Amino acid sequence: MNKILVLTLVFINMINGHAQDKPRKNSLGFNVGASYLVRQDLIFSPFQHKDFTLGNFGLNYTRRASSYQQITLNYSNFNPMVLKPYEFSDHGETQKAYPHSFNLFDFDYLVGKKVKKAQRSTLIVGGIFSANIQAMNYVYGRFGNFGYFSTLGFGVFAQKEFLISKRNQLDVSLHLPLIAWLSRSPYLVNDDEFIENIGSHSGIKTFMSYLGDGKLVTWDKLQTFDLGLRHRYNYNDKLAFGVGYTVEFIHSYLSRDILSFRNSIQLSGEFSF
Amino acid sequence: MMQPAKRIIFGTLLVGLLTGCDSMFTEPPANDPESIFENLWTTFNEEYAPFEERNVNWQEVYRKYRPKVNSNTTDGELFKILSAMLEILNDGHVSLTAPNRDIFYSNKIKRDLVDNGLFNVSVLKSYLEHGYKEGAENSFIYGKIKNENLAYIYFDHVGQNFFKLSDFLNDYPDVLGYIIDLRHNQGGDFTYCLSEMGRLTDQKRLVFKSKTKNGKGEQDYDAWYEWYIYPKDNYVNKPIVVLTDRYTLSAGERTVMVLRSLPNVQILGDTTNGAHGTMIGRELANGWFYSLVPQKVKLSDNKSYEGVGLAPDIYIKNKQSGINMGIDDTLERAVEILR
Repeated sequence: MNKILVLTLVFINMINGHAQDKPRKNSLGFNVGASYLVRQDLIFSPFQHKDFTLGNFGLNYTRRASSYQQITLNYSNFNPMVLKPYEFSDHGETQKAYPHSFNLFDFDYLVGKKVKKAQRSTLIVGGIFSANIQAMNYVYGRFGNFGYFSTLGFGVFAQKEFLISKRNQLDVSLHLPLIAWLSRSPYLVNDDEFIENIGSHSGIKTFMSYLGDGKLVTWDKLQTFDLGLRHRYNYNDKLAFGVGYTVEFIHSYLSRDILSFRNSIQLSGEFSF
Repeated sequence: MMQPAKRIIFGTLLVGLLTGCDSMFTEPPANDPESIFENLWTTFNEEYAPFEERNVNWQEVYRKYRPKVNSNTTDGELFKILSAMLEILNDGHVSLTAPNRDIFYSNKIKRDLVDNGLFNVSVLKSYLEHGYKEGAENSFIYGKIKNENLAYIYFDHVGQNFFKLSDFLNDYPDVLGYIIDLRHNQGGDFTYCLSEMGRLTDQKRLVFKSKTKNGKGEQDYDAWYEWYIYPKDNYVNKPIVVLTDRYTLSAGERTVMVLRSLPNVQILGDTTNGAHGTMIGRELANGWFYSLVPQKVKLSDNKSYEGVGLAPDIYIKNKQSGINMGIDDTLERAVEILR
């Protein structure tokens, strides 16, 4: 009976983190928020496609041990249109012209180390693998054209963390891919190679074929960076909440010019263990 | 708050404010009648491939129509002017879409529905034995011809419905021959016809080749790309009659090109539409949409039939009076050939 009581008390203290005061190395986080996109892709249109969305979601895992590692996954959907949706007819049958649909997926893997630690700030630098996959459906009334833009890149990152008070922290980060495998829709939307890729009629095979049709580029052909600013409130040693702002920039003139800015404001939550 | 942190916050927000500044983007066409006309004409000039095949002098078209547009041109007038300009191409892949208007189709047959009533799905179904199979919205229809040892299949477009071809061949292995009906086939994704026709060939065959514009210049094209069909699964070697009409279009015509390459196939009916290249969409500053063709296509005889169409081996055309009485002359002729 005594043994059971002791074990129970030890177990309860472990859950509450009182048994041993260890720094928590791992954290799982999520973020949700709003995003504003301005994108001009001359393969598909001479116009800037602008849209505001509340559909911006992300997950992340961070480990702070001898090295700093982070994996983030993010998704946004945008539906821009030059004009608002409108009705038209096809031999008298009413139809509707809908907006384009852009689906943007981001995956980042960061590995770094603390290089400078002051009393109230820490600087972490390292390398990044960044995958940026964009699948678009451009809708032109009665039909649509599929478009894609994908970068798989390696580069550097830097993150400065400022401890404002015991519970408040401000993080600033810069992700800078320097070399990437860039895959993009052909000059005039589709060509024979593009169509041949579809011919497998398998989503995965087609996707891999699109990626395979890319080329290796460096900063002269592709300029892209993510700049982030996040305020974090440490509720306790396990939970933290925050609000963040991110700017994503993409410019490339491989084939035809693409210029894209995405500004996002996100609420985040984090659980450390 | 610490000075470095304040500076970084300010810098980040400044970057954010600067992002999306209009001056960083390529200036888009303006939203006024003259700019819209210039944008559409120029895009065709740079991206449309088959001017030569369609005997159209696009510079001449500019000289004729540009004077009709000025800053006071209304939406209605502009739509008519652009439509008249596109009508000259007579291209089944070219169209213009605007709010609260009927789509303008460049191709006369599509636009005016010429002889549209000469093909009737209800009539052709009446020729089939009870128990025929059909897809949603007539995407495919197949079955045995009544009182004949012949099997028939119809495809209304080219897509996943073509997976049914193998089922069709498996369901009717012992018939004397097959009728493949591509009349009023509106096209789609021609890779399905290439992947699914493999059972009808016992060898690799060149069926057509194509090249796509890759620049603004008149001669800026990719290299010719050759398309083949390859043998696949169990080879079926029976006489086939393929039915076509003036509404057999785009990927439907590419399917005809594939079938024409087979020695056991006869084409019966009317010449196809003559719209062979791929189609892409474009948008205008006023929100209107249009489509154009960035590609040239040639058959295995190294000739282009863009704007001409694929002529049948045997010409026959239904009569409206016959259709009204439930008679499909073209289908009946196909039966006679195969019987």
